[in-house]
Amino acid sequence: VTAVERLVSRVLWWGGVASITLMLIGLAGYVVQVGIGGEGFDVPRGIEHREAGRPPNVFTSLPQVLDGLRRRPIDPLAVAAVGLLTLLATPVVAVVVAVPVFLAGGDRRYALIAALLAVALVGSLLIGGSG
Amino acid sequence: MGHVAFLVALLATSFAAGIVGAVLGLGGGILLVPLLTMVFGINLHYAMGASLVSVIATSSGAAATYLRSGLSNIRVGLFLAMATVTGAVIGAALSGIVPTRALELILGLALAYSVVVTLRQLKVELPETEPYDPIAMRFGLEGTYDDVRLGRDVKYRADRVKTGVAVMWGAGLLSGLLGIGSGAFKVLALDYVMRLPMKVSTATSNFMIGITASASAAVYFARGDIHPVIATPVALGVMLGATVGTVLMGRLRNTTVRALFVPVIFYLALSMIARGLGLVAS
Repeated sequence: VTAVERLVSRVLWWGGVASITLMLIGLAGYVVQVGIGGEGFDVPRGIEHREAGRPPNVFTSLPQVLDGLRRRPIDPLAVAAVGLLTLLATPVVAVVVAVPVFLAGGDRRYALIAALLAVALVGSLLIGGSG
Repeated sequence: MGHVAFLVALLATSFAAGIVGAVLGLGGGILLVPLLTMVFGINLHYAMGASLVSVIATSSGAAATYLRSGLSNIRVGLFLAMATVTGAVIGAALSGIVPTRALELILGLALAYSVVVTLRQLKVELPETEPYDPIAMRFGLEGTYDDVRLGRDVKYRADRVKTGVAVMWGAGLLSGLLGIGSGAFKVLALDYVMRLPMKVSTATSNFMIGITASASAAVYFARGDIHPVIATPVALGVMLGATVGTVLMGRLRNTTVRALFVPVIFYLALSMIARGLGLVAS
């Protein structure tokens, strides 16, 4: 097992743990919120018609998520969304950290391949996150 | 259904899908999408978004373990991920435009095909000859792993890389289009086309699934198809189920137990195809 495999393995593991923790906290907060009579996701409407479930229930960009985090009381679904975004970013971070390790090991060809992949992934994440 | 009851039902269903997926060696995603749409009546796009998230979660956990054990080949994975990621972004963009019925039809066919591939996987053998594919030589698409069952190190090198890349692009396209991991198709490219050992194929496919799915998931997120109320319990349930399923797998040596699930999956596949063809109301 090489250095790059160890590092990528660690990133995937801890990224997964962090995102699951955030999702659990967010989900628990949401249960508490709807439990005390707060407004929740309109299940029958939202599950059938995508348009009915649009914001504030769905976060479609990072600014919206940040907005939900700034709200008081804090929007628990925004916390869950941060967990979801952390999960989405985990494989991307794993590819990004592989670049310098390949370079350090003298493998320029794979440093370039990882870099190309990283650009494609970060690009789709940035376009997705800001859209 | 009340809010909490809905969440509990989602968690339980996803947990079950995670177990069956792990036992069969399929991802949870391809089972989840039909279950979420047919049992819960969840909009297909939300179901696909939630499935993608669960796919990244299970892949991250599994890939972390496989990388540490040296079974995942990171070079092979990254090299081929260039093809899957390109396919995935195109597929994810297309899934916003392609009519729901067509998506259901494609999903049904992909599901039926995955079961066939899974059945084929039950007989596992090692490739015998050492291939000399020029691309594989140039990019070092080779490695060694310690086969516990055989009790020796096994050396391998990829063959027919060009065809492998093409199949991988298709696997990425399906992943983005349907919100699934498309592990069965990735394994097909690695094992059948490129003739890598089955264990290496499965482990490397797992590593690639997360990378591919995160590329499509970004597009789904931007479209608003990743709904936290649906995606969060689904991801948690599938992860838990996959963990339990993997432990079960170690004990279930008997392939007949796996075969029990196959008719269920065929039923799901046929139902999706029937919906796609408009034979039943969706």
